[in-house]
Amino acid sequence: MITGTKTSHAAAVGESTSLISQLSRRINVLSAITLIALILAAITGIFGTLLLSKATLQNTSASAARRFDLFLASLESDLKATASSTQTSQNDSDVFRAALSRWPSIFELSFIDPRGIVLAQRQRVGAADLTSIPIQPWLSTVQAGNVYVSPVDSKEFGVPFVNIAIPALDTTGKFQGSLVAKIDLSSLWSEVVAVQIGQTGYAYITDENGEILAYRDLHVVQTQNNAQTMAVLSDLTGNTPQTIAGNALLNVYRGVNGQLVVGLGYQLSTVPWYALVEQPLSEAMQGFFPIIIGLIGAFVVVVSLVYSIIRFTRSKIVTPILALRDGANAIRQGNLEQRIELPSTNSNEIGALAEAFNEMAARVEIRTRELVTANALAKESTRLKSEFMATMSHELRTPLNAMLGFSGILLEGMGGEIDDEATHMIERIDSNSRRLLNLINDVLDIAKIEAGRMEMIYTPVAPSALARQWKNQMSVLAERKDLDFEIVVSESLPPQIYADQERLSQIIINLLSNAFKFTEKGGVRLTMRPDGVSLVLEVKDTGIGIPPHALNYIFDEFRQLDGSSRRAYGGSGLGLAIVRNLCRMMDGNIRVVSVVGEGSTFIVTLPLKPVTELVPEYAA
Amino acid sequence: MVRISHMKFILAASIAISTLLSACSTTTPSVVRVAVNFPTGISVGQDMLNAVQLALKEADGKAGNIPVELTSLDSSDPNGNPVSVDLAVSTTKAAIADPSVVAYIGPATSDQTRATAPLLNAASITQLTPSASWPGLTKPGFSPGEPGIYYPTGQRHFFRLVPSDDVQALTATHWVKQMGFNNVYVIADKSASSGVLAGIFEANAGDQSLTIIGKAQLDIASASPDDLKELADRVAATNPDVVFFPSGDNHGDRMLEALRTSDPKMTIICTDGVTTEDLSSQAALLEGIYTTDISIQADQLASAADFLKNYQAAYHKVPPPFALTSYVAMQIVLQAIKQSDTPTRAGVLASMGNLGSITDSLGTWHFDTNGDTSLTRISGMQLKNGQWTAVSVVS
Repeated sequence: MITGTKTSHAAAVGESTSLISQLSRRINVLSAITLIALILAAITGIFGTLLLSKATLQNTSASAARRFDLFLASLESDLKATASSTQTSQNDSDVFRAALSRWPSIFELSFIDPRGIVLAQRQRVGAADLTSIPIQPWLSTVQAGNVYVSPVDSKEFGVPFVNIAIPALDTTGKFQGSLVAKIDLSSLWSEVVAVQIGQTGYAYITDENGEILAYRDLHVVQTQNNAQTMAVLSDLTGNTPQTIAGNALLNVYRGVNGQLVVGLGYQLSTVPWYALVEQPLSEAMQGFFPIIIGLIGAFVVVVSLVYSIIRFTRSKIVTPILALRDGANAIRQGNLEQRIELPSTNSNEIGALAEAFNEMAARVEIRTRELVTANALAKESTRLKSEFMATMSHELRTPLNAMLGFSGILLEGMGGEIDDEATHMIERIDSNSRRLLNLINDVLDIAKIEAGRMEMIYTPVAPSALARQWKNQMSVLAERKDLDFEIVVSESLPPQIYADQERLSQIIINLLSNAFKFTEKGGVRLTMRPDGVSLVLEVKDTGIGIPPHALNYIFDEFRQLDGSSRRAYGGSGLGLAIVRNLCRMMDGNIRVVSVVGEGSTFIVTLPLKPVTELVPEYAA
Repeated sequence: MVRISHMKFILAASIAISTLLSACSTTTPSVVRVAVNFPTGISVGQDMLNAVQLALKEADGKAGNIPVELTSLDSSDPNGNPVSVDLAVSTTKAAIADPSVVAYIGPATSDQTRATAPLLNAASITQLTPSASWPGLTKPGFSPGEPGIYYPTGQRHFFRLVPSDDVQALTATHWVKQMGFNNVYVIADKSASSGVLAGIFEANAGDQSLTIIGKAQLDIASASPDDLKELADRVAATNPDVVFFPSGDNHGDRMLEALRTSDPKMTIICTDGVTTEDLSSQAALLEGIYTTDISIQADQLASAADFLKNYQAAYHKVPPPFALTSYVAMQIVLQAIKQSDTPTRAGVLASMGNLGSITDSLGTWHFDTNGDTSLTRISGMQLKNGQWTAVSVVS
């Protein structure tokens, strides 16, 4: 993908702002939203399925209760008719036989007079037992004209029985006795198994005590012990019919069949019994399986989509952009041969961008190589110039010194007496030679600076000592023009500082010389003071001042205000250039504030380097 | 790349698991078996087994393309009861333990069927009986807990190819009327079946304009000869056209002997319990008495002509009672296996509910919602020369 050196540049792109991080965040958010949506859908599906199951079970339990109520109501109605028939028929046995034929659930029919004597009886199996029975408490109920339903008797035949007593009234409405039907509740089996609840759901009936009266497996109804007691719901499920039927929500518990079931119940209206329905939870949740499959399908689709987006984004966008980034970094760090290579198939906008980038990189490489070559030539040219200048200065100063020396000898009369005219000419030679020497020295300094041969030498020095030295050295110029000259050293300055005394003096003497040169009245003042971590030296004069446009170039080499000023005031035009270069070499700077006709102020700012342990020989 | 590999792995694993589950769900046994439980230690049981084998042989040992084999269980105790309930239970449990057994034919008697039906129901194995006629096996009102006690799963698995005893008693009223009798004396012994049959006959006699001129119930097995004679004389004194005596306690010969002794010309109609009793010692005395029989002799049905011919060709004798229903039972099992979505126990049981109308050697019929045959046709038999001989088909 990337040729040349690959450079990591993570620092340039924050982790939070990188495309990969942003992409990861968005994918994470999308994944989280998808996951939450799937979870919500699953929860909704589960609750929806359970609610559907609840509705089904509610309908089924109510339907079962109605079915059992109808069964019992029909039986009761038939028994009432049979009771009436016993008062009109000559043969109770025929009446009973017909009733037994109609109702397989009737195990025995008896007609008992008010005294408790069994007047007639017919059993489905066996012979009549025409005996007296003790007066039963329920007789009074029946005598009052009410139907009596006994508690469930489970001791006989191992199946639950219940006795239903019907009042038998004669044609005048007078109570003649009770028709007692012994009902085999196991016959409700066919009613129970007729209740359909899904594939494996089931219904069963209990009395109010939780005794199971009818269930598809009669072996469960019979607990099969010696006492032939019936199964009790609380023993099998830990529930009571009241709790199951009373719960408006769906009950989930271990059902009669031993499995985890959902169940609901409904109380019968004819007797205090309960129709309970249960469906294995696994079957009840079968409706949720398509939802699960749908959710899994949706999940696969979303994951595939996200994966596709990630793969596309990584390969088509992020990776090319990272390649571009790395390429740019490599070029920035100097690897001009760096190029971006993207797959040939990536012929989209990013591919075009990479192509443009490569073209740009090629041009940058060419231009940079041209600049490097030009720069090298320029540096070599400067070096040769400086070397030439230094050599030239040295070669010029040797004969010039000889000229000064001999002119001095002549002026001092050591070469014999000379007349005034000759003296004047020799003085001209001497003065011009000195100007030429100063010029050469300045040129030599410039050449040294540019050639990098000038080094700063910092030594401890007392500012006050410097001030005295500069005062002594420059006072003659002030006196010559009758100017005021003052050097003020701030008491805030450290007693000793580190400075290159020779170069600092070169700066200040140069500035003071200029000040005296361009000042005809008034005076010159040098101020030395600290300014934070800086040493500030201000040379203020009341001279001719500098016009604003000249402030831009007075520090350039060989530049004075104009030719007239050079002629009027002399100088090489290199002084301020040297001053500025020296300030820079000392890690400082120089600036000027000037008003034409009022004077100028040159402000030199240098790093203030106090001497912490004073050196006695440099004390003021 | 790792994620891609995981996804591919999960996808591949899902496909593999689905394929495996799919393969497992559609795997079928190479051979399915039908358990046949008859008292093969006695001739009637062997004849019933012969009929089943004939049906399988005629189907080339297959139900459609599925090979079928028989697992013959013998519930006859050579040293005791030829129709042992204990042996029926133990052999049935062995059959249930064999997962390749998908259907079951037998046992021969109602007692054996009462004991085995709950076991087979719990195992969801289809059970067909060619001979057990106790009505409580399929219908309520005959004994407490019936019929639910035989169906612990709540699903019917029991199918009967003979009319139940209640149908026999009901049909007996028709036969009595067809023979021109009006006044009937009803005698029952103390067995449950006898009481039920007597009660049903009595309850339905009026529909045939029969008059019950007397009825009696006696524990014949323990009754003294004087008790029997007293009852017989009492019956004879009423001068009935016919005596209906549904013998059910295997001691009916005592009552029959007492009745014929009291009146040698007394017309007596029994039910098929009497056919299993040894009457040879009183054959002359009892000559001409009638009985109903839930089985149909093959030579009485035009639809069974092929069966009669094939059975005789195979075994060189006339097929005895219940051979025809045994033969048809096997044909039905083969049809159910063939029609099942999967030849499993559950598949065959579900298939039984979809048989619809059946046309075979018994004629055209179907199973009702209780699993009983819709046929109400029974045989009318008469004792001639000491042998029970079919004289009529009654429905």
